[in-house]
Amino acid sequence: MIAVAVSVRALAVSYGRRLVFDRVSFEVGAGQCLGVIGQNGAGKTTLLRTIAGCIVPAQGEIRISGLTPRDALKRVGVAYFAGESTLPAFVRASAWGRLGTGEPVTLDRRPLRALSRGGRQLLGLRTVLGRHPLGLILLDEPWEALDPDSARWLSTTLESKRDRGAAVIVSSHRLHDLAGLCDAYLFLLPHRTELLKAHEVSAVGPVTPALLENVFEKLRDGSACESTQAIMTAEMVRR
Amino acid sequence: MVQELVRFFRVVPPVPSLMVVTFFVVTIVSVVAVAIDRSLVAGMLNAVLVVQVFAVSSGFVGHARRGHYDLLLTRGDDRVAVALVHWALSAAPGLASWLSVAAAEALTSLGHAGVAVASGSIVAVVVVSTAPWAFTAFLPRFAAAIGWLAVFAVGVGVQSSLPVALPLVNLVYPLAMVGVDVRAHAGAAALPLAVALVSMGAALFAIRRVSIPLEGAQ
Repeated sequence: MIAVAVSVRALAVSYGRRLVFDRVSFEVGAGQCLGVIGQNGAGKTTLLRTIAGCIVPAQGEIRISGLTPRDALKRVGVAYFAGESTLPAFVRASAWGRLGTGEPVTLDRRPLRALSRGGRQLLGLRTVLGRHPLGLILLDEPWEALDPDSARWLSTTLESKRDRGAAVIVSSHRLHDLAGLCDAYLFLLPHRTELLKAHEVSAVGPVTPALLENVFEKLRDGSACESTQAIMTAEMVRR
Repeated sequence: MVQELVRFFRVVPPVPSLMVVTFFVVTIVSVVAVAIDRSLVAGMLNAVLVVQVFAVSSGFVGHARRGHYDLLLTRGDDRVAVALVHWALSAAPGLASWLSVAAAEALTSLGHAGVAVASGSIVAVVVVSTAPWAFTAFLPRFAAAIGWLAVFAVGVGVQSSLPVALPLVNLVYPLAMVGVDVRAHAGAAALPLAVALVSMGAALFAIRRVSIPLEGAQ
């Protein structure tokens, strides 16, 4: 396993004149997991895609083990999946599953459009997560459409990969899935981003889904003068 | 690396299966027609090239923006190599069809495939197999082919009332070069060839640098 650290500094991405997000900074070390939380349209997908080297940022820089994303992709095993809607509908499930490692992921020969949303999502995840070695995992709403068994499999797999040294960045609206997995949380809101590190508030209690939801709501509703840390600590003390 | 790319694009083919079936039918009809009457070669090659214009208008970036090529783009493969393999497999069915007709011509004329291997035919197949791919790289599938049909229709109308230079005719209608020896009029073939190669280079250069956001995330 290659130890991969991701460093993002003052990142800004725009589509034409529309600024998607601005001044986003964080670091994710090897064996750590970052959860990205934000409203629809806040730029979660764009952020992950920029780290994956598909989008050229307007400002700022990304370093993956000291390299630019495009250079890092050649040397670091990267698993990136943006959801079942990115799978080509006409391809057979068994053929797609073999594209990850060459090994079959499923024997189902139906075209992907014939599978359920959850079936496609699971196949897409198993295809990219089967790659070896994996130094960096970038997943966009990975629990979306999964049944409870598949969701549990995904959480366990991500924990296992993280514990074996992979850096994991995952966006999700499912805060209860993120809360048990992540070491840090990036709240991505229009005109504001806040980073919360779990160990910095661990003295007052664990990070729970309810807590994440409260912090997110306060940030969304404009507690602009308060830092995430202050909101978090106050919330924990109140409880 | 190229083998991996070819394996990927065989699973996610740039040319729809219906188009491959169309090529198959056109090839069978063409081979039979040439076997019956060798003078039909040019017409049959033109039919193959018309289908080829649509086949290579495959829209690389459009598919990439839908996330279909994410497995490749996040694996560290050079984007130019990815695009070149995409182009090659877009053009492959048409080239196979064209070669089949050329082989039929050679068989029926005792090894002399005069029309299919004429210099003009070679230029035409190169132009038709590259320029539409390049012009459609950032556009939806078939965009270049539809645009070409529109320009061709306008060109036919204009040509009847205005004198049009031969290089321009060959640019708008490269099929006119099929079976022609263009070595004596190199300038007439040079313009469409130059446009095809420059547009291909420009498309590859842009694909290497451009951002590929997801359609739904913009």
